[in-house]
Amino acid sequence: MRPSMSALALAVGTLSVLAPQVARAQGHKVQLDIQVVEASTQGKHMDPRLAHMESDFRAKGFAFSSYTLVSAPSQSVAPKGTATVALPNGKSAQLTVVGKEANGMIKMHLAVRGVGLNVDYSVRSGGRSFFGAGPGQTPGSQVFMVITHTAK
Amino acid sequence: MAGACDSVSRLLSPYADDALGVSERKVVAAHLGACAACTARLGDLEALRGAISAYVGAETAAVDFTGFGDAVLSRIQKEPLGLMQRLRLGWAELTAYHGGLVYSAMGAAAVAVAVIAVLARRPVHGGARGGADMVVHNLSVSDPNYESVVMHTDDGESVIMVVQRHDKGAAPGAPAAPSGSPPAVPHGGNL
Repeated sequence: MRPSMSALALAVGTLSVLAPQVARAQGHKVQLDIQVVEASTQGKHMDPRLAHMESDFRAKGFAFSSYTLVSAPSQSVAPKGTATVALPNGKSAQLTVVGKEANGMIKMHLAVRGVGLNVDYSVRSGGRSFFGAGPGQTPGSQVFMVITHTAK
Repeated sequence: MAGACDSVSRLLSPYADDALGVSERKVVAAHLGACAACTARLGDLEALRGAISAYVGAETAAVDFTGFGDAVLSRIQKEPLGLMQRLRLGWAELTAYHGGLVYSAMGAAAVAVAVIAVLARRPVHGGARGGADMVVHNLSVSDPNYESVVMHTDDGESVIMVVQRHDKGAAPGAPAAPSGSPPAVPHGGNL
């Protein structure tokens, strides 16, 4: 037998060990809890469910005085699956679960139609991310998505 | 003299074959110089050896060994080996000829796996909660009217804003230059 047969046997053995872990890492759904928010420098409306966002943004120097929760869709998305979120400024966002990394982080792709935003990112399970989706309907406003990702 | 002949007669055959040591050879030679009976016996032995040698030579000369090796090999049947036997043989062959390389490669692979395992479990980014929530691999805005601004929150969260290009830095509500915080990152990166 040539040495290449041993290498092949070693490769097969390695794959047989790693394949179940890869499959397990790739196979779980991801719960996406999304808050669609319109933040504005006009008005004083503050949704209590957005207190965390207001606190974070204020600490970072944002001057928004009004935070309105427009919608709060939740969806469980399988790997390679996509969730579409309608935005109040007429645009839409598509969130695709790309997969899961070996370290447990969730790989995602976000596309916001209308502004041409495309983001490939990884996020920790339970991690929250803020995405701006362009100007809102009223002057001085911005549309945000607050997305919490949870691996199931 | 009979006792001497007895002891020398045992040495006559090796003497004829030139297989004795120097001292024994001297003893035999000295005895032969004074003993006609042993000398005659030695002559008989040499004659017999010559006859046998001639006979064997004649017999072997009559045999044709051409193709003998090939004929023997052709009669040896190849038996198929089992998978485990082949694996064992292959491994033995590999380690016999490339043992250093094989064990070095295995060691390097083990180290690489250990490093990857450690890195995979390590927090990607330091933060108040002990790790980053998010890592941006690629960020682009295809619409020329907009561009992106990436900001960090103190607890490891990230804010990716899309602002109109002519309004960049003066987007409604957005901080122009947040005090006490890292500068905004206009493109993708480790947040």
